[in-house]
Amino acid sequence: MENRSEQDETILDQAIQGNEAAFSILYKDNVKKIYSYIYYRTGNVSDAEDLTARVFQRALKHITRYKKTSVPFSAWLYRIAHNLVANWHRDNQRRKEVPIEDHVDLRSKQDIPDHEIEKKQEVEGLMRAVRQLPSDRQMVLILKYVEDLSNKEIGEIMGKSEGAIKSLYHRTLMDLRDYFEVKE
Amino acid sequence: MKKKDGMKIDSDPDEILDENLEEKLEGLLSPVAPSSSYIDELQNRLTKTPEVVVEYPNYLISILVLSSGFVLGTLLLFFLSKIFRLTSSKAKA
Repeated sequence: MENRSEQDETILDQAIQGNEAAFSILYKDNVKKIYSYIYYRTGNVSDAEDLTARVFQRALKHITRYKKTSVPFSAWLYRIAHNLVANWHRDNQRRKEVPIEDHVDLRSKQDIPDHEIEKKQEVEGLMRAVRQLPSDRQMVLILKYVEDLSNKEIGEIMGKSEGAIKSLYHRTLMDLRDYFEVKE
Repeated sequence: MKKKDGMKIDSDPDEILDENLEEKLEGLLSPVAPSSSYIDELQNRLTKTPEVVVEYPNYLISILVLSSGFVLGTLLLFFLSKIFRLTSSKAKA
């Protein structure tokens, strides 16, 4: 495990020095996470692909200025992604809905019985509610459920304490609950 | 603790709601992976410098053409004026 982290450190050092092969390894390690995050924030594949490319182009351009800290490298990428998504939302004005069909298709069809239209509607409603939340709350939910990160790790990425993430998460759940209560 | 239909009767209804919500979120938010072709293509775009050949215009050829045109034009004017002078002097004589 330590060997792995030492190896990661070496790769990161090389990438900071401008080694493209090392950056390539960092790219491979992080591209799926960043894509997943952007996909849930934008709601469509083409924008997710476009913004993911821009995240890594920006990272490659500025990696020589990257300052190593105790925070994982992915936190830096997430912050770039977060800023780009915020700009994207500003440019687009109206938020797009997540095409649930796309999302559902990505999972095994065996998991979804045909008759579960009600369930699908419920999922659509929940996704709609998630997308109404402020961006930092969406980020907490995506990092918690999609990336399966702990509050501590989310805090490192978002530059907040573990306690702050815990309370942010609770407020997020309360907001979602209120949304459903109002709807019902 | 009493249980009915798998639900804790003594539990706080808010807690049950949160648990249900968390279960729904867990079921809804699963990792989404981009296509492998996209990953490879982006990797190529990021790490491989594009092969661009810049062709500069050959100024020497254009200078030669222009200067030779200028010289030929000057010579032509010179000879034409000579011929014109000769013909006009012959006509006067």
